[in-house]
Amino acid sequence: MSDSSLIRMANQIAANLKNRADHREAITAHLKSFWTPKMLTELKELISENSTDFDETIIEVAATL
Amino acid sequence: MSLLKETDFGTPASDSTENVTVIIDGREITVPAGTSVMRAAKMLETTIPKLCATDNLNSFGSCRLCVVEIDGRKGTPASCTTLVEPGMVVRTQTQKVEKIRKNVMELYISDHPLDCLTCPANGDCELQDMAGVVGLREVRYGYEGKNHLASPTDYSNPYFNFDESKCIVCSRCVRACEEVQGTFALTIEGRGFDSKVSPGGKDFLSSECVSCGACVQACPTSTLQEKSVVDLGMPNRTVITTCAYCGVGCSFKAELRGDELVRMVPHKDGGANEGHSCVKGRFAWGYASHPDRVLLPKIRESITEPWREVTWEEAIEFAASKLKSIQSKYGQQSIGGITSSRCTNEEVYAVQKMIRAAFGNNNVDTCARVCHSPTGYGLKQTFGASAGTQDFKSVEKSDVIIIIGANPTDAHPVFASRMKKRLRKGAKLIIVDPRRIDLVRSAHVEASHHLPLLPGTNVAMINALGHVVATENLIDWDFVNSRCDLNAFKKWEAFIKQPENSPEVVETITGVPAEEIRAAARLYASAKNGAIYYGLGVTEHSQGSTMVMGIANLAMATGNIGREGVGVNPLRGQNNVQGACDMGSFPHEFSGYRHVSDDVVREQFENLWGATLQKEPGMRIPNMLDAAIVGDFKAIFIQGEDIAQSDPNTKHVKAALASMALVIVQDLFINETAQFAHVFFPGTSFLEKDGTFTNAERRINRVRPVMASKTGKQEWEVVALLSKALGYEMNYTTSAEIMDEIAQVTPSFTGVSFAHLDKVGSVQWPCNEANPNGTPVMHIEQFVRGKGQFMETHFVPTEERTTRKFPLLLTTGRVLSQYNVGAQTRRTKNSTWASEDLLQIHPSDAELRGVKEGEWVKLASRVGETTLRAQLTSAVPPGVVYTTFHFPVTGANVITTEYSDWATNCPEYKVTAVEVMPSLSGPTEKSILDKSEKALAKNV
Amino acid sequence: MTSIKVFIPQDSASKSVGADQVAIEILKVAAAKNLDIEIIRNGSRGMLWLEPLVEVETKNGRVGFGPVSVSDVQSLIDQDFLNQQTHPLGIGLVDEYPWLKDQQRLTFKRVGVIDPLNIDDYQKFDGLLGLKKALKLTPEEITKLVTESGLRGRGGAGFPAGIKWNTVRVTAADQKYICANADEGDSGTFADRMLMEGDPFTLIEGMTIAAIAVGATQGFIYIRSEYPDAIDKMQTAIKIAREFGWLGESVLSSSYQFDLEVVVGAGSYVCGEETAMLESLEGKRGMVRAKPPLPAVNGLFGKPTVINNVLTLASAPIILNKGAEFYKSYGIGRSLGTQVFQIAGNVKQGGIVELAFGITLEELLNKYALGTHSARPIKAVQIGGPLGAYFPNELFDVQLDYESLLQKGGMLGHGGIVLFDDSVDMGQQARFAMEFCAVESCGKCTPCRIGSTRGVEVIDKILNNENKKENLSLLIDLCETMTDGSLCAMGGLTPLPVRSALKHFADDFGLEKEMANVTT
Repeated sequence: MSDSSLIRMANQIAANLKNRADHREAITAHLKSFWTPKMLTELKELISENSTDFDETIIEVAATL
Repeated sequence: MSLLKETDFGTPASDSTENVTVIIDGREITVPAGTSVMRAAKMLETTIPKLCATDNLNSFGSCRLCVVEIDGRKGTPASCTTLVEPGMVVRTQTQKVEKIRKNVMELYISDHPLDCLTCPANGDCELQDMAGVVGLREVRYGYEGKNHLASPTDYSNPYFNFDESKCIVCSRCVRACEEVQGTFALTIEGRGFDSKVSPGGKDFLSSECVSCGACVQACPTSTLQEKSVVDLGMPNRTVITTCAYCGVGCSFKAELRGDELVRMVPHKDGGANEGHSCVKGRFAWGYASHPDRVLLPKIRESITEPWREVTWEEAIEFAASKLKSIQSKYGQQSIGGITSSRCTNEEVYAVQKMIRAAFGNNNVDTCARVCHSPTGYGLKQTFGASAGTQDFKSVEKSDVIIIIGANPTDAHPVFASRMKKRLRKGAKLIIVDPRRIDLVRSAHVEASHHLPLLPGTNVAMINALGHVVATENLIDWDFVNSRCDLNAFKKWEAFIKQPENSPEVVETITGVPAEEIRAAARLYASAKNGAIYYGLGVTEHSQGSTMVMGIANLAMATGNIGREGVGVNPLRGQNNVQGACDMGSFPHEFSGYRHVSDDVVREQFENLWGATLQKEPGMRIPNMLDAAIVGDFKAIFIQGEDIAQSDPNTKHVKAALASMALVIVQDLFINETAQFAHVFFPGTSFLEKDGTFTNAERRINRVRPVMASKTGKQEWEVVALLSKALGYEMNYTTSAEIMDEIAQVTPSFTGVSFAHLDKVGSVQWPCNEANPNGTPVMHIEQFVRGKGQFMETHFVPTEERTTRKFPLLLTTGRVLSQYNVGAQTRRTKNSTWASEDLLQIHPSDAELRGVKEGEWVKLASRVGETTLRAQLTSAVPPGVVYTTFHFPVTGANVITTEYSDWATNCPEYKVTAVEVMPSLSGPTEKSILDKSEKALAKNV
Repeated sequence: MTSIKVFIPQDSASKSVGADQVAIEILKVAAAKNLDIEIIRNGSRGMLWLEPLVEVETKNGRVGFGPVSVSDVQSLIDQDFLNQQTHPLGIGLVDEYPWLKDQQRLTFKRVGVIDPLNIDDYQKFDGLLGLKKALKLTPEEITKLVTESGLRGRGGAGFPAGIKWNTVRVTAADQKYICANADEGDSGTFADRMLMEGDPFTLIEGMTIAAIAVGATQGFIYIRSEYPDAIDKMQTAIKIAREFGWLGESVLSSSYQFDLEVVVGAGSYVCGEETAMLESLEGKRGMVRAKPPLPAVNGLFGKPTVINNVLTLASAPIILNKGAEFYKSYGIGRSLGTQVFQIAGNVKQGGIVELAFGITLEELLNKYALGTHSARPIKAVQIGGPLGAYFPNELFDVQLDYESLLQKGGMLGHGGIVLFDDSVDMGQQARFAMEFCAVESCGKCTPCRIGSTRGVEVIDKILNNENKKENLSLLIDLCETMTDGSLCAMGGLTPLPVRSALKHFADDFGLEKEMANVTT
């Protein structure tokens, strides 16, 4: 995956779920259901490289994956 | 099989529950009240002569052949217009009525050409039949009297002729156009002897006629006759099969003479269409034998080389060895495939099985990704089943219908006709669409409310409708309390009541007056039966999934789920979108929508297939394309899809394709995508396939081979051979065996088999032990997931915004005569009606830019540009432009962006910021890859 | 001192013979003489040979002069016609004029007498009494009263009006309609027109009574486009009725709501057929519908609908006012009340004759028509419009009521009586019947659409002596097919004039009487 696509997708998921009370669980479930292991690994790598590109909730959630 | 002639009962069935017993020619029969004497007689297998009556039209009473005598009644009433009454004693064959019939026939024949032997309808002419039935032996009037024999023939329609000289003015065509199709294009002109059928204006082609074929089918003579019958002669055998165009899934009788297909006639017993058709299914099947068809496999080392025609063995060996070497070099995840919604369930199942078992990964996706993936997601979340809730027939019971982001008269014409029939009976209509689609106001149909929202603001709108329901005490509390998860409901209620969702606030987002929104919500919520139908105008947004859930919320809140006449109904774009999704085409799901991480399910597949399967989701199409550009994804198998034309941001798609080491395309034609392929497996048209399609109402229909495969193989056979060459054998000998396997592993399909379908015609899944006859309406007692789940649907606007540089919003759709990327319809005479993509633009936007009707314009977005002709129309509001993507020369998807639905990555085709400016010339033939595409691609 | 009232009809028949010019001339000449007169434009009394009939109000009653032409005006004034009755055109007291005096005018009571649009005049002559009575009755009582009166449809079919109303009354629906059929297309008929032009409020009152009886809130008057004056009068009358609360949300301050609209036909004879009229009212092509369903159950826009002829509806007020017993004291057998006969064609004294059913044709001819205009002997009389039978002299003793006419192979139709003198060729008349049908047929059913054209051709062959015997039998067969096989009365009745011409005037077809008789 290209970095920009991954960042956009992750942030978009966060934006659409973060208003929900159970947003952490929802985002986690979503990523686990639909993302390939490689995409999840890349996500974590990108966050560790430069977390400023990411929505805060994604950063929180990614840490638990 | 010989030529199938369906029984014609003369008048429609009555749906009364009351029964009436009558005696007809001494025999007693009990029929529903409201049944005509003619129909009751036919139920006793007593055929009363008739010409103007046919059972898909209301009785008319004009031909006067069907007169009978009824004890206690004076005169000779027509049996078509006379309804049964208790104790009625009818005589259908008395001297008196036989004399009238014979004399009436004599009048008919006194004004009819005597060319039966050379007439195209010879052998299929009701007038001819009736002349025989009544025993007409002479015409005492002679033939020199006033007549219509010199009337001209109208050849203007590309598919049928209108020979006025043969018309008996029974009005069946006029009535079919009104009652069945709902277009009202035909009329009777003139009075008395001068009465004649007229399409109004000059001829059929220039009239309002939509060429659905209903009139041709209704015509009892050769007056309206398919050109193919004129050219080829009368067919003599029938194969019942299913149309391969849109998601309506019409049943057709393919009528052949020997092995030659003569015509496609809609099948009366077809559950989806009940005997109706549109211009595509009825007439546009000639592409199957178009010279562009590729019939032999082709391979090449690189896309710059010419193709080499090779044997199947060589092509399969070539493909398999390349796939293996790529996997060994780049890893197991470096290859994948895409299934096609155009192919049968069995073909799709075979491809996903090959990918999971032979490729050894879950990198399988389907073209539903780019159309209805949000439907699957949204309805699964809320209802527990990734499918529409109703059958098409349900619309006959609807009182208020909302259509959101769909244009049924163009894209789902046969369903549109069924809907219009209901609307003409008084159901109310609400349309939510930026464009003034035809249903907003057309012959005898007028929407109560049109909410012309700004593209991209669907969720705000659905929330406002929900807000009105929740704040104006329009909630169906009984339904919510008994059928829905109350915790989820309370959260939703609290959310939806917030002022940000009020029509007054939403007016500022959507541009639709608050009062209109409120009135529409009240109308829907207060309906006895409210139904929602939607299309890609809902799903193809960056909030597509949210919108689907918003629709589900609204339906649940108003109690409009779980019975006839209500429901949430996605109108599927392609013939087998539903089926392709059902068959396990998504990277995260096996057939029947079960997640790959479910150990129990996975083990079942592993045991049956004898293969180790992966438990994590694979890549979606956009992920694959992205990965290809990065260099991680090297090979793809594409079943019957033209992603280089149909997928968004084609520049990106082409670059991705060009980056791969191996592209395998299985298709009918060398399409845009095949320009990037190394292996081309010729595919089969629907006329050659043996399998099943599942339409938008979950109806599993048989697709039967009308002709032998022109390539010598079924598509699943090719897949099985490739799989075998990769080291995994499938061992099917027939497609029926594939369905048997599907039934074995898919809980909602356990009752499905070809044998069962051949027996009952079609079934709607779930079809299993609990529902042996299928399930026309879902969620009746409870939701598939148990309790209905309300979801909070926060409106998150798309990042695609108009700017000073791109101040207009482009939205896309299709026209009636063309279909999708046009691969099929462009290769038929359907291009008579639409031969290019046009840009619809509001006159005021056009004037600002100096754009004139019919002139070339350049359409540009931040990702690309194209040129096409402008069509000035107020059907689009100012600020919005619209086009179709049927023609590769236009390549409208050059313009569309990489934005997609947050949950499913369904592309945001419906919102692109663009600018339009006059252009000096039209589109030019492009090279396969332009400079920017080459720069984007790896390894070129 | 009050001015002298002079009545000059504004009826279109009177206007066609110069009533407007006469009125202008009288005003002009009277002004020159400083005479104080008030001109009132009434309807026509129905004595058409006397039109323009100028009436002057005197203390003894209204005195008439006619037919008055513009050139007569000076001499009328010169001879002081306002006070003297010596002018040669004078007919004396109009009410005492024998032609009028012996008539039994119930429906036409006010026509020609009052100023058609003057509501005071209307009420002075018993207008509104029927409606006021109806408002005191229940809908069921109204339909019962109309049924008991014996009133039958005056359009031609003769169906009992009360029974039709009752069917509409008991059929449950959210909307019901009253339609007045004023598509008066029969040749030689003009009573609907004269009533609408001469006393429009009566039709409004009758329709309102029907509406109350059946629960309808909207009515339509379907008037043929050839009647511009009637259209104008009706529209104005409706406007006035609304202004005075006779129509609208509360009819005469009652709880009943009713409004009316005039719809103009488009020149088709068959639109006078009730179901074709419904199609036309719905904005569609005027094509006949199969019955059942009856319009009373499934009529205009699919709703229960009363469709009655103008004269039927206009009879309702007097029935309500005077009671069923009063009305049915007129007439005989099952033909009760009065019939408005319209005498026309080649006639000396044509016009409106309203009499109780039961008068013979002979009496009507002798007492009212007084022979032909050409002064030649009468050869045939066609009763009931272009689809009615021709009667020869031997049958002039027929009683003019529904049943008697039917018995003699004819029908009353809308009450048109058309005279022909001995110069008429009945072969051509038979041909004309078929031709009329061929032109006016809606084209829906085969017997009418093709049969009528073949009918013309076959009659031509007979008249041209081609295979006479075979063609005669073919014509008889065709007549049978059209009678038994047609969808509506248009095709079904066309054989009536043809058969009667064949039967009674075989000579005109060059046939032996016996030959024609065998086959009829």
